[in-house]
Amino acid sequence: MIKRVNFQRHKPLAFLLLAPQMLVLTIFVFWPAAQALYQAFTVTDPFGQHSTFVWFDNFRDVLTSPEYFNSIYRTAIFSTGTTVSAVLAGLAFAVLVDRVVRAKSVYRLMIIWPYAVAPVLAGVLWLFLFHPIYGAIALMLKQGFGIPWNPLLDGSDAMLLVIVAAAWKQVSYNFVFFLAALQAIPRSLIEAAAIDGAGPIRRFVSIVFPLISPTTFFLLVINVVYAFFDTFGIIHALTQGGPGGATDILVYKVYADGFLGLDLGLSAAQSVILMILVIGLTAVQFRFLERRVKYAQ
Amino acid sequence: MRNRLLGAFAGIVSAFAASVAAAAPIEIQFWHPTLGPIDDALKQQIDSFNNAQTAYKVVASGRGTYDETFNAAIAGFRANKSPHLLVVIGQGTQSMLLSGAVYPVQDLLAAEGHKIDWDNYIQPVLNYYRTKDMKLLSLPFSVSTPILWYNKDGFAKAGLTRPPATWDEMGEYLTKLRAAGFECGYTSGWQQWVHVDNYSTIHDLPIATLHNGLDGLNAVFTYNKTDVVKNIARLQSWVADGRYTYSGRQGSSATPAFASGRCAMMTHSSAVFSSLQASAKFAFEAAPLPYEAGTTPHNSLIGGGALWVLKGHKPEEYKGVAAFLAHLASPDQQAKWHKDTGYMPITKAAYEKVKAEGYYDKYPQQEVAITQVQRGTPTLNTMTVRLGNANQYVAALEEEMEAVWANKKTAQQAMDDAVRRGNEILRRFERQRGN
Repeated sequence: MIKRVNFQRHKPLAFLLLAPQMLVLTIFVFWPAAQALYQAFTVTDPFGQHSTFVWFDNFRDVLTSPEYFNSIYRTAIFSTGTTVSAVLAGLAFAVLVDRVVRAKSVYRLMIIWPYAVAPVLAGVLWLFLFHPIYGAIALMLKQGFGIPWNPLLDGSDAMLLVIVAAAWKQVSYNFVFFLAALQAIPRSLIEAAAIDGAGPIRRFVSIVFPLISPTTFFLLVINVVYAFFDTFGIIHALTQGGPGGATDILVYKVYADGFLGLDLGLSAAQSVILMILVIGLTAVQFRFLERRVKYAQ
Repeated sequence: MRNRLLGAFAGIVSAFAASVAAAAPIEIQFWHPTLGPIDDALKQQIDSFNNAQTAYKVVASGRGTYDETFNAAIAGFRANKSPHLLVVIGQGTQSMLLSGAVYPVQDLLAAEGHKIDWDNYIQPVLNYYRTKDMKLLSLPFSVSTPILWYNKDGFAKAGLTRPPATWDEMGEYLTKLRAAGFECGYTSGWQQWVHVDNYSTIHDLPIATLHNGLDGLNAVFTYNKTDVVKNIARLQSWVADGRYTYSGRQGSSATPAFASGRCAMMTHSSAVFSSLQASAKFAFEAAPLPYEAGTTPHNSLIGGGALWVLKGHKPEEYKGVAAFLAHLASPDQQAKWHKDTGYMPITKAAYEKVKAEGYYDKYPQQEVAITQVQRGTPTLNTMTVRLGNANQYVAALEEEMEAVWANKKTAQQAMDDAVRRGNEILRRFERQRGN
C-alpha cells in the first residue's frame, strides 16, 4: 500500500508546493510551445522587423507542396526502419550479454559507448566510411563484393545508410534497458521451465519476452519519438535529405527551413503538423499495443 | 601601523586605477565562423591591429559554421546585443541588406574620414556586395571563386600538356584521363555554384530576372530557359559514361576525392588551395573554369564571407571599427591573408605587391582566381546574385540536380522543377519582408 498525503484541507499549501515546478514548466515548455504555435500562423523575417498574421497560409504552403508528401512517406520508412532495427539489435545484444559469463562488464561498456557520440559526429564518421569515392567500407563493397554502393545517387542506399546510422546510436540505449529488464526476471522461473524441458528459444518466447514486454513497449514509444524528432543531426551530416529528397524526413525539413533557411513561420507550421502526427502515433501505440503488454503482479 | 595600512590601501587603489586605465581600449566585438586552419591567420590579423595601437581592442569570437554564426547574430540583434562586426556568407547578402541592422561599410568609412579610392579595388569582387547605385555594403572578407583544379601527374600520364579551355574540350580530356586509369575523371565541389551560378555569369546569362534580383524583390528564376540546361544535360551524359562522379553537396567531399588522387579534375573554390597543399601527394595545378566554344568568357562570381558592420553602437566605437577595416584592407594585410589562407586579395595594390614578390611564379594556382574574376567586362548579369532565402532555393536546386545524375529526370524537367520551387521560395522571402 502506497502512503498518500491528503491536501484536501490545505489547498493553498498544495498549490504553493506545486508552484516551482509549474513555473519551470511554464517558462521552458509551455511558453516556447505557445510561441511556436503562434509563429505557425505568421510570416516573419528572421530579424523580427516584419511579422504578419496570415491565418493558415503557412499550413497551406506546406500541405500543397508535393515535396512534403514525399517527406511524410520517407519519414514512415525511416522511423519504422530505425525503430525496428534499434529495438531488435538492442534486445539481441542484451540477451547475448545476459548469457555471457566472463568479462560481462567489458561487453556492456563496449555496447553502451556509441551513445556518447554526438549525432553530427556520428554522421561524419559514417559518411567517411561509406562515401562512394573514398570511403573504406564503400570501396570494399564495390571492389570486394561487386556491390555498386552509392548513397549519393541511389535513394535506397542513402535510406539504408541513415537508418543504420540512426539506429546504431540508439542500440546502446535500448540495450541498457533490456539488460536491466532481463536481469530482473527471477531465475527460479527460468530454471523451472528448464526442468520442465523447455529449450532456450521456448523459454525466451514463453517466459522472458512476456516478462520484458513493458520495457519493450516503453522502448518502442521512445524510439519512435527519437526517430521522429532527434535525427536531423545525422541526416544533416550524412545526406542533407538527398539524393533528390530520398531521406528528406519531416524533422529534417523543420530544421532546414527553420535553422538553415530562417523561415520561422514555415518551420513552425511544419513542427505543429509533426507534433500532431507524433501525438496521434503515440496514442495509437498506447491504444493497440499496450493491451498486449503484461505488467508485473 | 595605521599609516602603513593606509599606505598599502592607497597602493592597491592606485594599482587598480592604473589597471583600469590600461584596460581602457574600447572593445570591438567581431563574430566570425570558425574556419578551421584559417583561424590562425585571422588571429594574426587581429593581433597586428591590437598591437599597433592602444585606443581599440578587437575581440574575436568564433561561432561555429556560417549558419550558426548568422543565427547567433540574429539572436544577438533581437536581444540588443549584436556585435560590431559580423562575417556573413555571400548568399546571405539580401537578408542582411533588408535586416534593418546594417551600417553600410562605404558610409561608415566616409563618415569616419577614411578617404578610400574604391577604384583601387578589384571591381568584380566589390560588385558582389554593391547596391544598384554602386554603394559598397560590406567588406569582402573570405573571398573565393570556383576554378578548375587538375592532377598534373595524371595529365602527363594521359599525354595532356595544358588545361582544357572549353567544356567540350574538357569532355575529350576526361575520356583520355579515364583511359589512363582514372576511374573518376572529374568531380565538383559546390556543384550549384559552379554549374548554375558561375556558368551563367561566365556566359553573361541571367540567373533570375531584374538583374539577378538586384533591382527588386519580385525577381523570378530564369536559368531553366538558358544554356544552363544544356550544361546540365552534358553533365548528365558524363555521369552516365563515368566522366563525372558526383561527390555530394557543398564542398567538403569533393576535396578528399581529388586530393586522394582518385579524381583527375575538380571544380572547386579557389580557397581549397591550402588544404590541397597539405594533403595532395601529387603535383596539382589550377586553371580558369572552362567556357563554351565560340563565346568570350566573362567574370566569374565570387563567394565566401563578407564583413558587415551592424547598427546600434556608440560613435567612438565606430571610429575603431573603421580603423580596423582600413587596417584589414591595407596591402600588407591583404597580401599576407591571401598567402596564408588561399582567399583572394581585394585590392589591386595587394595583388601587385604579391606579384612583384614573385609569389605567383612559385604558386601559379593562387593567381588563377584573380585573373578569372577579371575576365571580360562586367555586366548587370555578372555583377551579383541578390536573391533571398538562398539556403532553401540552393537545397531545392541541389535535390533536382541529384535527380538528373540519378537519371530520374531530364535536365530540362529538373531545371523546370527547381525554378518552380525556387520561385515559391523567393515569393515567401518577399512576404517575410512585409510585401
